[in-house]
Amino acid sequence: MLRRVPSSSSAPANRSFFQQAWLRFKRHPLARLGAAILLVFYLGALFADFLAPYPEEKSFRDFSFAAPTQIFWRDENGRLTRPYVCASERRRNPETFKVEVITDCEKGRYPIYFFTKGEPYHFLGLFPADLRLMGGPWLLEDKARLFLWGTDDFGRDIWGRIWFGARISLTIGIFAVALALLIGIFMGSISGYYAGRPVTFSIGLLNPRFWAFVRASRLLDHLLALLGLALIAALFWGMAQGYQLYIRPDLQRVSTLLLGMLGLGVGLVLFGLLLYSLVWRSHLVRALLWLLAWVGVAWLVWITVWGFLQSSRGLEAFLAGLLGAGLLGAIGYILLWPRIELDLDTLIMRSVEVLAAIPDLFLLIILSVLIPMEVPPAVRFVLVVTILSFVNWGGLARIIRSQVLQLREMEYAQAAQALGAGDARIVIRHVLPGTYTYLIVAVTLAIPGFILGESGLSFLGLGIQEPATSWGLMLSKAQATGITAFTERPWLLIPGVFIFMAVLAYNFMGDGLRDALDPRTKV
Amino acid sequence: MSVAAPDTTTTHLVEVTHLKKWFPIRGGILSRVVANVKAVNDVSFGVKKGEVLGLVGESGSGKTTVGRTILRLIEPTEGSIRFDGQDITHLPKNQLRAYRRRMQIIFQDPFASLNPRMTVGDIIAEPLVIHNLEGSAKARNERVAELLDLVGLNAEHVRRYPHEFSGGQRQRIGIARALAVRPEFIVADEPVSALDVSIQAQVVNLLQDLKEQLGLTILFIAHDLAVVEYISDRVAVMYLGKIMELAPSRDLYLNPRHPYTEALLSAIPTPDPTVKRERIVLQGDIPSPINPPSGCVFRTRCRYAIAECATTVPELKEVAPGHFKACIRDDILN
Amino acid sequence: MDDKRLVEVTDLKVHFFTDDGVVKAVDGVSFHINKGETLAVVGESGSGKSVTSLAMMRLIPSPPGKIVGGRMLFRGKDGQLRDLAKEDEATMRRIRGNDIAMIFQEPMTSLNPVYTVGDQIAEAIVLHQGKSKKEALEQAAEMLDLVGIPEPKKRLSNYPHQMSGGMRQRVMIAMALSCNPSLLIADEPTTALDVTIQAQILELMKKLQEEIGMSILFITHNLGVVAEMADRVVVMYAGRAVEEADVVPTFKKPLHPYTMGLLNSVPRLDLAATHQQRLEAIPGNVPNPLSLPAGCAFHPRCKFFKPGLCDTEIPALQDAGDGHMVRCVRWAEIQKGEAVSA
Repeated sequence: MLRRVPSSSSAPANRSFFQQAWLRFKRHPLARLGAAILLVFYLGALFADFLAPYPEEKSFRDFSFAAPTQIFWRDENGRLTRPYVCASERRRNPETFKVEVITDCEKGRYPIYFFTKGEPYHFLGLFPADLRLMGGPWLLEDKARLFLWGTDDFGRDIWGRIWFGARISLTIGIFAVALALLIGIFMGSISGYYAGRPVTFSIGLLNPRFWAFVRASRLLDHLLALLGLALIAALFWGMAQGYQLYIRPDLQRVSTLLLGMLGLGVGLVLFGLLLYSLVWRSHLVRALLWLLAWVGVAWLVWITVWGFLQSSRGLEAFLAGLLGAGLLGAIGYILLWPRIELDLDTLIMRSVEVLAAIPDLFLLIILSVLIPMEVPPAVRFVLVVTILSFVNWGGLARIIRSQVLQLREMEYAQAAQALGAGDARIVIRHVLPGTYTYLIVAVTLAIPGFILGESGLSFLGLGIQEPATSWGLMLSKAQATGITAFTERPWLLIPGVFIFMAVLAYNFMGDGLRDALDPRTKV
Repeated sequence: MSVAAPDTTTTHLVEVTHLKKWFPIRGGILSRVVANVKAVNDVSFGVKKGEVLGLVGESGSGKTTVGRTILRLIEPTEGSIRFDGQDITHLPKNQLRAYRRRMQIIFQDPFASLNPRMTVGDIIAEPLVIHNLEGSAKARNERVAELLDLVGLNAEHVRRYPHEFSGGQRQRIGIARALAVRPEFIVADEPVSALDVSIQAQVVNLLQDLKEQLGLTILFIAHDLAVVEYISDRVAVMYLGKIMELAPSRDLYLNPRHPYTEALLSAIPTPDPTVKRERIVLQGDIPSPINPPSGCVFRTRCRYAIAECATTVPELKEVAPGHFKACIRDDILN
Repeated sequence: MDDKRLVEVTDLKVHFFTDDGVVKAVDGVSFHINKGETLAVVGESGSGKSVTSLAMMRLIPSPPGKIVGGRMLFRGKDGQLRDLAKEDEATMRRIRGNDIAMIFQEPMTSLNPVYTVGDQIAEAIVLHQGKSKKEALEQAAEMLDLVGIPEPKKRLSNYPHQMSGGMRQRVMIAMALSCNPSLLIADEPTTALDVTIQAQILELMKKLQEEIGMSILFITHNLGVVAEMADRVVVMYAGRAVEEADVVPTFKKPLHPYTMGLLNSVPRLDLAATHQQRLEAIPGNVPNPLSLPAGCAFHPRCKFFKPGLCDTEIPALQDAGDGHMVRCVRWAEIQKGEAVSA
């Protein structure tokens, strides 16, 4: 009551929703800071090759765990000059008897040039380039080294690898969230839309409603649907042939794999559409399809039980036989008589709860152990993303479900129903668009969780593997030598600082977005 | 129970017989049905072709549920709904689509009934797309412009979003959307209740004009008897899921024959300070529809109630030509 | 200030500073309330009627709202004359609930769901009258009895959700009247209620006013309720009072075209036997408060609009005799029937 600001009553707004959201976002200083930090990080990841003086995997065995290279600003006369590094070598310190990297400027001073030619690389893996932020001819000739933030156990430059690692650490969250979001939207919207409205999954052959159901469509529809089925079968066969002939031999190449996945996705969508447009109109064909599905299940049960019976005896065989007979009997019963109503909402939400009840890290570790050790890094990346999103889609699904539950009761959703719109249209056109402001916020706040998840996995050695890198993997080097890392090699903790900053920045930005996009602030 | 089918001589476009809608309340671990909200409890009436039937009642009377059940937006628990002679009570979804074109709804809240993320043009064109009318996009645009013009809006408004309009204009957009499929029957569910006083009259007039122009049949649902009386040919008064009285509108106002109608009319404040009327103030609250009183549901607040009212469920019967009431006391209000 | 008067509001201005610009929700409103009388403020959404009442309680949400000008003189129970626009927050807290009480439109949300009804009424009594909790609860039971709630002692331990809308509004009234205020502000108190319940509440308010003698500032959009309750009426449009008069002349001899239009656009049951075929609607829409029309804010919808006259200057509130005030430059012409409809 008190919050009613008159301007919202019947005022035609002069600004669009997003312009207002932007205004509100700008007023949030921490959110702006977060966004700025993230921008810097992502640009850094994009231009990692340019920022790093050395290629990603270049290692200097002699210089493992080297401290940050000292950079000098004054020449021998004490005058300010172009920054330079001095020649250095690894030898035993005669006073402390420790093996150290000793810098000796008498042996050579090497000025650091900026925007200079360095080792060639392919920008974004496509465009050949050799421009790097720092370096000089001495760096290419290996007369002196430049380790801005020291090196790791293999003597690799941490400054450079931070940016290479950012490519994985910062994108894995986005990819994982995208995948989790896809699963979440699908599950959440089905769950929300059908909450309290059980869906009829099958009607037995002997149920009078079955024949009423089959008769509810025209002969032409049946013919078209059969034709459609034949077409789909032909397409499947063709695709299988093509797959065997052309794609299979090249499977080890990652690009082919990705292409294959893309093709499979597009194909599935097309099939879905075909199936929907052709088969769905004929109740006869639909009935045949589900009969076929149940017969398939029965066949699976049968061969499993049969195989088991062949190799066992005694009580074991008796129990297996009993179980098999019970299952087959149940399927037979389903085929013949009842009407099965499935509450999709209960099904999905209870699975989410079960998933949520298992500790995340435990689940992550179990699943990660399943990844074979020798898969190529890119495949590993995809698999880690899949695991992370599989563990975490539940939260997003819940958010979407609650939104959908609310929005499906909105009068405009009912209006669409009154206009004759189908369920899919109502969900896609009227319900889901209403959730996206919440989703943007939920996704922004979920990304740090995924970043931390990846860090955790990699830290334990179950995520990203050498020679690829990520911040979590880099941080794991710090624990290799125990507590001494904190005192003797503090630079190994730098990746931790980056994880911390990225997570914090995402949370700041998410908070700002929540305030900016909250539809309650203005309709 | 005899069929109280009022006036079967004329053709009814919509006919509702013994309609019941009970919403189950579930409880316990097994989510068993522990009680029912008897929102609509045995209602029968017909809407003649071309007439406006008003449906009035207070909150909890079930008037909105009746409207939505007729359109099959809510599935009825019992009873039947006939539209143009065809029983549509159990029609499967795909066949219902054809009927969706012929009956439409206008909602109460012009802010909630338009999707805030669609332009006005898209909103009005949606029914055309769903039913694949008007073929090309160009023809659709023309039809949208025509509809906007019909409801008194500027055709240039198609690209704007609902939040850029005032309540009255939004309600016009809602009406245009309902009219897009050229329906014969419209359920107007409290179409003016959420509007400002000076805008209400505009929308009432518009509905009246459209009814004349397009020959619409309307079920006009409202809690404001004055508005209903004004626009309707006949009025049905509902209380706790039942029809109390059904009569031609002027007749109902001048000669209310049911005690509830009488009290309802007397409760409405008149915008004239010089008129001082003796008012019948009903005692107590509307009982819960979960557990309505036995016999006549109104008896707990009725000043004419007798012992028999608690035992006999009154039927809706004709007490004068075209005038029906559900009350066992024939000795009062004649 | 006249001794008869309880409240005198002069040139009150409340502006809201939003992202989209300044909304002049109330822009120069003046009125007074005599002791024991009911003043009705009528208007549509955006007219500023609710904001006016909130301003008197100094409950304008700030930011974005601010009282930017005007005086609100109020004679407290202690006989002291105060300008509510200038009092500090501590004084206002003493006045709220004690001198001026308020009831709201939504009986659902204006009671706290986690406390019993008795606790909520007693809280105000303890706060303002310094009574013990036990005495306060006894008085609360008396108040519930006063507002016609059966078995008041038992009802004290009820939670709001155990009561119906009408009952809750009675509890709100009991709470408001528990400290015997001299002014009751009722902001659309019956809008969310059913007609039969509305009738009960209106009867109750009339009865209580007779017994207690407080003044009522009644905010509503329902002209029927106004005719029933008010002694005097202020009609507001787009943040300004356009007409102020006793209730009978307001309805029988309205001077402002907006008031006339409003009266003509309501369907009337009492004229059902003779009613005309069409309602006389006011054309157009309620204006956007961010960009009010120049001059008289009603001119784009007015049938007596005269270019060059109505759209140039904001008309002053003129006295048409007998304290009948009107904000229209053409009221005299219109009254004589000389003004030609546009």
